[in-house]
Amino acid sequence: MAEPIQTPDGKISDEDLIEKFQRGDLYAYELIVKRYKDQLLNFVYRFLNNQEEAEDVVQETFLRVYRNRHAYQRVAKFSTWIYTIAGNLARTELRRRHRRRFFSLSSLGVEDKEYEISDEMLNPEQHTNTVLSEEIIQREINKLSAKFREVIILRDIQELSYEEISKIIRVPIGTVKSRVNRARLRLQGRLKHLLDKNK
Amino acid sequence: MKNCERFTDLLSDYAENGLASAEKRELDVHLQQCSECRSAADGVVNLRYSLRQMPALKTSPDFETILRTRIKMERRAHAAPIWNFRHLAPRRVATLSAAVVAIVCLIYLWPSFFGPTFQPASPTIAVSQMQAAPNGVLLSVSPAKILYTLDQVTPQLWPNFGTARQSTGRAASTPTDSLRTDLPPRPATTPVAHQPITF
Repeated sequence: MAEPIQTPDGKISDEDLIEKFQRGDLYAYELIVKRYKDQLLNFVYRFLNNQEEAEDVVQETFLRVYRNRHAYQRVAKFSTWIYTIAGNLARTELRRRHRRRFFSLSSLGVEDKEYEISDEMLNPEQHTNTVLSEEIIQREINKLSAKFREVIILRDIQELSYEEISKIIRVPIGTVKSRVNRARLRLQGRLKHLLDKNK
Repeated sequence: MKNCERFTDLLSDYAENGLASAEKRELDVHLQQCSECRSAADGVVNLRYSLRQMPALKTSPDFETILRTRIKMERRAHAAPIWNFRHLAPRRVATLSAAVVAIVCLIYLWPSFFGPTFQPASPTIAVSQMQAAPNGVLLSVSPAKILYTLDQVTPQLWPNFGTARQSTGRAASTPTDSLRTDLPPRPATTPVAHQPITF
């Protein structure tokens, strides 16, 4: 059997951990959970903008890893595999949420729809502290379509390489680069006032 | 304007220092001349910085406890039925299914591939061909040349078989009797009732 590969910081690699887990080592699974739970939560939270739902999705991701551990093959990076699972579940949750919203809105009368708060009511100039800036950025991220949102989170918040993103969302690298560029241009256009102030 | 469109496509690579030197020089010249593109380029750089500064979330303290409980419940639920294949990898399930199908096909198609390997189900009777000399002496008996199923052995085929054993006379009741020219023509016999053959 090959010696476990260690990462530069002396840790055993993800791929070795999942192989150990495939052989029945539950401690290896626990290590995987510890290593990825916060990373995945950040990814899914930025995608869904709801911590409770994001935690549910991350729980479900780890359950799927547990259930389908034998489906993983070493040809792919483990991080790519687990991000793909989490991304698919997050997208499913988003679709479910849209359906719920569609049905709840369609059941309301015209006058009831006034409860929707317009984004224009929030004047970004009034908010200067970091927490509010983060909220505004998050809000603008959520206004992007899912395909733009996913790539900008993976690239600029999770700091994954274009190659990894390409494998996770299964589109060519050129398409990923183009989507990231368009997402950044849209986002910077909407957040211009805030970004200029933070300069 | 046409140039601006071309250069905005390069802004992400520019912000990530991913442009070739010739392209970068070209873009720098354009940015000095075009305030709109310069503002967009600054915006993208600032956006990347702001996104990286977004605070990282942490999972709730009971995240792992909940996950462990869910896994325990799942293991209990999956432990019972032997026909539950969900714990197997899809490839293993596919291999098992293919093997079962192949075995069933092999059993079903066995006779057509290899021909009948065992005797037909209906009982048969081996009738020896007897060679007789003109004087009536039996010269040879070649065994089992003709196979008749019992259904085919009719009184017409072998009319005196049943009576031959009972009579004390010569055995003149074989199918080759017709070859013997020294015998007087056989009187017309009345059909003998089909009797059970005993050996």
